[in-house]
Amino acid sequence: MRDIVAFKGKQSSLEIEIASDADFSDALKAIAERLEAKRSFFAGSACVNVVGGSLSEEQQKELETMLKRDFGMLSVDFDSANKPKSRIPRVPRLFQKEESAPVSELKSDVLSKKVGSAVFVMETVRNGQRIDFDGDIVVCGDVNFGAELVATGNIAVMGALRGKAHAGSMGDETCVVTAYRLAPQQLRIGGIIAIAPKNAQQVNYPEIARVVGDTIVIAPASRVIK
Amino acid sequence: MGEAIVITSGKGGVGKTTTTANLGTGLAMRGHKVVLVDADIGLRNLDVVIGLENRIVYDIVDVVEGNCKLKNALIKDKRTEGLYLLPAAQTRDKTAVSNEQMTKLVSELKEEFEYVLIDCPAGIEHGFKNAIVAADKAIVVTVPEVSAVRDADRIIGLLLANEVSYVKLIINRLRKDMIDAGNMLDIDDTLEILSVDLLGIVPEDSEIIRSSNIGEPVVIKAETPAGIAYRNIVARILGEDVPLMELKKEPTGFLSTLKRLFGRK
Repeated sequence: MRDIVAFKGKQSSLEIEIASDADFSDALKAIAERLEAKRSFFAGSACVNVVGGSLSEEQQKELETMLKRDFGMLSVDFDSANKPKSRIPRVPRLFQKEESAPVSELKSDVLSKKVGSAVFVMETVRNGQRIDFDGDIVVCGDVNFGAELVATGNIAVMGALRGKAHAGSMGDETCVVTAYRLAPQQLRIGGIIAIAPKNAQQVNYPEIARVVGDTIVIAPASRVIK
Repeated sequence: MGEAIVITSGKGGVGKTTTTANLGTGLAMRGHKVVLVDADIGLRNLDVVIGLENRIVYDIVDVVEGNCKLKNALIKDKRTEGLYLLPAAQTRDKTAVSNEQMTKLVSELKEEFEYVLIDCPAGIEHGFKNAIVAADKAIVVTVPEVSAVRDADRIIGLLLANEVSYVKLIINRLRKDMIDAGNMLDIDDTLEILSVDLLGIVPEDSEIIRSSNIGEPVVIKAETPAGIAYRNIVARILGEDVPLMELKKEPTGFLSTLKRLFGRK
């Protein structure tokens, strides 16, 4: 028997395909069972795209409520297969340094607006260690090569950031990553991934990485905070 | 009551065993009672480096399995008074000794000896956990290479997570000429990344390989650079304030070549 629902992992989201002849309540049950069985596996997915099943508006609402309430999904889209493809590049882009960007463009009012919980890590995060937090992460120390920070909010490192940092891990691209010395192996903000250009010059002042357009851009912190 | 110090690195081949042999011999030369514990079960080398390979009758696994008494397995060093070795088993593997057995063993040794030096196997698996479980302090050995420094960072994180909070660093096999040419991580870079205190620096010295092969720790030899470096580290372990040795390039001028030719004993 063919499954009435099929799960596909996409680059930044989970796609659930409902067979066109499936009964809605059966499909709903099947989705819940599948998600329940592999809760920890799907816990990292924030966005769901539901394809097929020709659902009515109420049915869409019901499914969306279930996915959000019971499985912690952040956003649920319906039948967006025809929408333009995700703009997240498969290959990480190089992040850009924008020393000379006009100040007006750098104005970032999200910085002061974020209110939520934060965790303070009062030691150096070393190779092989990972900090996962629903909120902002502040590290009072270094983040070394091979260490990983994953925050649903912003990340601040009061030291050198040499490892990986993922801010806005649930898809919030207004988040920022800042460090006294920003020299990460890889940066992610929302769904955008960037690595350092090979000849990136290390500077001796704090910098902020944030998303401008569809690129992660790095600028001196003093300039952004103005 | 003595103290247990684990010598560890994460990465293999950076000089844990050589360091253990030299620090142990150096501490014993200074009049302390020292036991070296080889925790690298199945791949034992410490006995070879210290030249006691042929004298092994019982080993650490015999002790924990009750085949012999602890004092029967301890081998007295042939050169240095006050130095003993508890060899690893060669025909078994790391699972032969449990963490509880190791803890009990080391606490027994600490009653008898001032310093219990534990030679840790490479890696972060059972053998590593087994070696650090009973340690009061840790000496992390690294070489100035990116991969070794990253492994050392990982190891320091694991040590701190396992409540070994006294961690000191030895940078081994340093080559002044390569650092000057910018081809090797320098001391400051390494310390900045690892953010732990430096216990000492050991320069690259071909004498190390020779002395390991003949089973005679280089620390005994007065004139070798590595020997001096190890004696300095021993002094620092004993709480003395010894400045870091100045690293010299092998002199290459005509006069120094002559000096070297005639200066050799």
